[in-house]
Amino acid sequence: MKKRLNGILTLLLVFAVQLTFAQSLQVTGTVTDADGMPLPGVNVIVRGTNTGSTTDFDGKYAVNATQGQVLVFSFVGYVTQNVTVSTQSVINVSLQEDAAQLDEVIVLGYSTRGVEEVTGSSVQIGGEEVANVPVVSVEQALQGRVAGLQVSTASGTPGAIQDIRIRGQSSLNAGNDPLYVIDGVPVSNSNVSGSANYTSLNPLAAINSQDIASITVLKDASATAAYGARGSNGVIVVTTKKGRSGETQFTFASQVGVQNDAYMKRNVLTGAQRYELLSESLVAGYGPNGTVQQRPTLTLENAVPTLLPSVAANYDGTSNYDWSGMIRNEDALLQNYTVSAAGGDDMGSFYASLGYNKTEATVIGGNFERINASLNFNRQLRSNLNLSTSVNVSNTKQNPILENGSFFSNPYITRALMNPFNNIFDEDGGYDINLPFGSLPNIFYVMDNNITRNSLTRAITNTKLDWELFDNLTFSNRFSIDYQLNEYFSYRNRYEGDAESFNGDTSTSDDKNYNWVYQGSLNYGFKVGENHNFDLTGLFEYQNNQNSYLFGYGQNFPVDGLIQINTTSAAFDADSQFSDWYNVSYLGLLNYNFAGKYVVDATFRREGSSRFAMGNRFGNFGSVGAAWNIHREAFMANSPFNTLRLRASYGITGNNAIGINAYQALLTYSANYADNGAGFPSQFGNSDLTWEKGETFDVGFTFGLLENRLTGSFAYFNRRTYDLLLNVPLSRTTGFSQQARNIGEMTNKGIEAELAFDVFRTQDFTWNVSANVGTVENEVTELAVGADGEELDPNAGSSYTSTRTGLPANAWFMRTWAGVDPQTGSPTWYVNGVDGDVTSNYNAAERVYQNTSALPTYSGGLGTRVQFKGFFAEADVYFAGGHKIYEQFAQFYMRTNNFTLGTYNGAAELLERWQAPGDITDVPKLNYAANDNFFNTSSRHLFDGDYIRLKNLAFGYNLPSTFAQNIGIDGLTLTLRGTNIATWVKDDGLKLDPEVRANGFTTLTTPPVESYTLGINVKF
Amino acid sequence: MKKNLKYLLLMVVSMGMFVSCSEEDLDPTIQQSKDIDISVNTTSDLQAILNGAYNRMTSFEYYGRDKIILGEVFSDNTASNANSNRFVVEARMDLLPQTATALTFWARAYTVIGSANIIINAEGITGDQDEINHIKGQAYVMRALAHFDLVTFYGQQHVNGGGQSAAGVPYVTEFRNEDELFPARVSVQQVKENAYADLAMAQDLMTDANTKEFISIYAAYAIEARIANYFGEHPRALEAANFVIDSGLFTVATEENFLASFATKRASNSIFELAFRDVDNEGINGIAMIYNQTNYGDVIALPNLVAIYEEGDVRGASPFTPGTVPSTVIGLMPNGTTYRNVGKYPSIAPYDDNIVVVRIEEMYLIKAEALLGTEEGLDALNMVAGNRGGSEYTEATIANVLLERRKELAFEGFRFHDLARMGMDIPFLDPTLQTHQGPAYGSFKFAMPLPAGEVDANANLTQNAGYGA
Repeated sequence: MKKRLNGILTLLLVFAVQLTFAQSLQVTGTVTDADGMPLPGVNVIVRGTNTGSTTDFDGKYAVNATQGQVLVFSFVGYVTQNVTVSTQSVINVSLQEDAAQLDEVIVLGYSTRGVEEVTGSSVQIGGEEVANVPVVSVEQALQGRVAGLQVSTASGTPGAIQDIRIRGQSSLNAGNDPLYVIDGVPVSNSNVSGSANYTSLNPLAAINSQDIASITVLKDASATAAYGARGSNGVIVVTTKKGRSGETQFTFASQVGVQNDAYMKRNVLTGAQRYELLSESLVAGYGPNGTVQQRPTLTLENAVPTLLPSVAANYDGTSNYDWSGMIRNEDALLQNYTVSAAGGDDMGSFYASLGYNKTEATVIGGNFERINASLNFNRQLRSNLNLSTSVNVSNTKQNPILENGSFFSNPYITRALMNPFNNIFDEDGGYDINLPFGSLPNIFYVMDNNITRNSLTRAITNTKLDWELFDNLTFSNRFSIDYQLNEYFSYRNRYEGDAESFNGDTSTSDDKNYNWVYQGSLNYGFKVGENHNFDLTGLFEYQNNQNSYLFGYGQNFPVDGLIQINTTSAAFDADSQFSDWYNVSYLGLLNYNFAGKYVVDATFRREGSSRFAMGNRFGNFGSVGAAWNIHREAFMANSPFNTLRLRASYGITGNNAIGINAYQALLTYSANYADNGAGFPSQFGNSDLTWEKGETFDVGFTFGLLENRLTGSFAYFNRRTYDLLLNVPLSRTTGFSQQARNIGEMTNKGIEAELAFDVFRTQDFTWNVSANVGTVENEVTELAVGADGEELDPNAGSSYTSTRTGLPANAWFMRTWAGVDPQTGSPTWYVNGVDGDVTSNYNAAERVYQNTSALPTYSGGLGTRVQFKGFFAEADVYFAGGHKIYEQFAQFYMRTNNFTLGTYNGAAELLERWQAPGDITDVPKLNYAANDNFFNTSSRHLFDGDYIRLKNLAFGYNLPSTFAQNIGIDGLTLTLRGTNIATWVKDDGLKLDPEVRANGFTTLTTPPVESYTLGINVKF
Repeated sequence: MKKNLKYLLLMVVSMGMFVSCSEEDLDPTIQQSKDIDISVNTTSDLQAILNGAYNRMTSFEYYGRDKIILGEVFSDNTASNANSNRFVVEARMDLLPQTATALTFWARAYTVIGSANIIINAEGITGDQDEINHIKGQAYVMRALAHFDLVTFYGQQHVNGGGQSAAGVPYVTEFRNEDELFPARVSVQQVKENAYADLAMAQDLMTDANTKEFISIYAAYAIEARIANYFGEHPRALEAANFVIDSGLFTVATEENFLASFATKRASNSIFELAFRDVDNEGINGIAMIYNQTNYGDVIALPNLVAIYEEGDVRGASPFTPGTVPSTVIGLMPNGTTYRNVGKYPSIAPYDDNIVVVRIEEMYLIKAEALLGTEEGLDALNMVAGNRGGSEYTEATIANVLLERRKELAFEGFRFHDLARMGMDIPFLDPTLQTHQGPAYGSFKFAMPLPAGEVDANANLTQNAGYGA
């Protein structure tokens, strides 16, 4: 393609005009680094023209030039080299690393620095790594790649928000989500789904992974202090792809694959099994030795027909109707296509892309579809004036499912609890909507006939004008608008499901979020003498977020086929709301280094937020850091270390992630009574409310040995969060449940280590292995006190968790399971919660600490990459552990009485019930008419969360460029990739996927998916 | 260089526009709410907060469902079939401190009290003094009623021979007083006396009007009669009941219009009812849902209840087809075995039946109970029984009064309290449907647990007997 295009262009334009002047020739060659390794992606431009190219995977390039023209070879991190074309048609170039640029750069959001200039802890991931992972939302690609960053899949339904924690949990009640920054601008990424009961919708899913150039995860105060009051939970800096000088390069990337549940071992009773257990439980309650009644004639055979004639009338005792199997959408299709173009010249460059993604969920009904277009454009307007602008617009359609709770129309309720005596189909082969047993609707009919849809249109523009006033003094203005419009639509049919009793209903809501940011900054870089390098930035930032919401509702449709509100006739409801917040900041950044050896940096940010009471709105944040690049010292000249640096930082950041008007004592007027408006107290308020503060100390070192074949880093951090934004429980007699206060303290400390080794590094064969691990130890050190001077548990009332000083936050705190009594078959718990006496009286057992919380204390990744000529293979493993997770819905399907055996259904594990004295089992006896509290909160349903997961396994082939060029393209890569294809779980009792939301509860949501995809990447 | 200076000037000016940000500039917009401290000034402000208190009473956590249903499932009237897992542990009388109902009912009742206290303690309100007093009077009645409702469920008077000296509930009289955030329980007797005092204050403040959807002075007396009757103070109950009866403003529903009275707003037998409009959509949590044959219809009538009605009694049972107008209170479902309440709170779409808090029939039954063995008492008893299609009583005995109360007030949340105040065990007559298996009087199950969240947050409270430390 390129060749042909080139030919035509050359023929028509270049040749025609220039033939008379000089001899044009095609120059080819290879660009390598100082070690002779080929460098792909190097820009090769004919100076003063628009002609140019980039090197391919093998470092090769081809460009047309005439004698006397100058070829400019440039690549980030390397010294640009100019070569004048003479008569030779082959020009091989070796680029030297740019010492002034201090190697690779790290994008820190407000600034970009060389890796040897930073003093903080941050990890940068390249766009390739992100783009390769077949997920709809970029943050999912971070799992296992960053030490100390934990990603847990809150729901596998495409588009759902995932829980990300950087260095554990820093706050008890304010948010723990990191701040997202896209192209230098903090953005809002809260759930935009129209209903909290349905699958969440992450606004980040509006961004195409293929458009991402890099993601930097900022972990410590030196790195995050620039984000002041919002930096405490870490910052994720996303940089989108920019154009590059050179001939326009087209790329087409596609991923197509299939997905299934990654790990799901919790099975339910079949009809026949349930019938057997039902008979047994009836005899236990009403048989010859029944606990409620003694009927001498009742036997296992006649119990059901005798006591439950309606069961006998509608179920034959053996048929198997596979509800839980049918709700699966097996081999759910995943498709992602992106076509992009990038190019430019000395004066400007562009990147443009168009992407389409369609991903089905592994459960019926949960589809995701996205179209997005982006344009990044950069142009030098004057010699000292540079304009860059980006526009990214997308529309994301998601069919969320009712998965955030035990709703009847949650398909996972059907999977867990549908009475299997019900036939899915009626006599005519249609879905039976008059199921004889239980109250769950026929989910297949409901999913076929209801409509639930989020449609998010997100547009982000980001324009920056850099104005070099004097040499190295740049005045920059940046203005960014992020507009999110989510239209939510819900229609529920008249015949089956939640709207059956009122003849169908429909609702629509529009949620509009308008966020704009202005940044004005002055940057001055200068040298004093030969060795003192200074870089100073002063920045002002103003951010305003406005949210407006409009909702309408109606019910009772006259006839079929109508879905809009104006065709309903009853219970009309409407709602409109508006809220806003403001953030204003003054930021100063100083970076100094002495000859690249000693680095000192300092950050100061003064920030004001509208979320706090007058007088408490402004806060000061900052950090100082230092680093020593030991390898640059003369005495290291002959050492085996290519890199050796020490760094340390200290700083204070904040957290303001609480409700918008949390400080105010409010009367809300959203109620009415007898046709009149009504007001009620809605918030206790606190006029002293202000930031939560985080103080972080971080120290670490980085090294590279054997020509940097062995590289690694190590960090220790200690973060103390104080003045916690704590929802202090109030006595409900006040009319409130809690008051937000700044009280309490918590620490997180841990280590992070990364190691990578190039086992082989030759032209044809490379093999690299890498590993990272992060640990975090969380401890609450101070809390509010109650009426008796004792500390108040912010989780007061929970039977699962407690937050107490000396323990990790939200520590599992419950009754301790002591097994099933082999003599009686009754469940038992330890009276004192630890050992010794046991009791079958649930209330008599004490709640105790279960030695851990829901947050993993360690997590990490292992990876390896092998490349042989054009072939490559890679594998990544993610692991996490040291925590426990609670199977929340055991409270339903692990009941041993009429709840599971009469009304709903139970877990297949109930088959292991106690039956006769001497039986050793973990499931008590069954009794239709008894309640043994077996299902209630206890360590019986709490499992070790440790797991290891093969996140990624891929094989691929890069077509050699010579061959590629013969078929008219620049490059072709084929990749076969599997994700989550194997999972090892430590605890045998854990039947559900070990990846659960950060609070540690398993849910009735779509589990993480296992996928197999074929990726094709063509450059032309 | 000159040019550069011009740029510099321009830059300083453009930055200056933004840099001058002060705390005031960061004031967030507030459009759905108002600041409490500066927003209670006029009678309409008070009225809006009063409406808010009524609105909270209509919540499903209180009179909208749970207050009524709990009084039914803790008894021999109804059971839960676990259709949607509602009232399963409640019908077992197997509540734990962390059971949601234990918390939501407690919390909701105290939010009503909180709203009432804002009104009661409001000072310097501009407007007509009579109007202000009338609003305050309603707030006093709410405060008395809510505390009484709380003590009937959480007080220890029926547990282990507790009596009135046993622990009641905190009696809260101030809103947002930072020094009184953790009140202790007062005795049952103290709750009662405080309630009487609040009612007396209300009766003093209120103007004479028969406003059924808002608390009237008659409702203030009717509720006093109910409280006195609960504590067996019959002369007081009689006096208060007579105040209502003798006003002549309320008439007992006849057999013909008895069912209609539950689907009619401001019916002539109603003294105080909570207003429901179709916009008050409690959806699946509505009381009609829990009684009716829907996927959320968990609460069914016990055959044992059906058996107490005579043939022809409009409150008894008859076959019922969902979607039709019922002919009796209890309907026999098409499956031929399940009985449900279909006559009281009948409307599902939309859910706009008012919920009667107190009606004149209860006043007659209280009067009868105060005048046992007398002709006047018998007349009062037959005022009810004689208007329902069954036969009349010949004697006003306590057994007959209790039977008639059960018949008349079934599904309205009275049965458990009648059993408790009479010192009776919960009858266990239906081994397959009744899951509580009949706790004996004095059992700790005669009081709900204080919610775990409350006990954990308020160290001044002690948990009820039987629910752990």
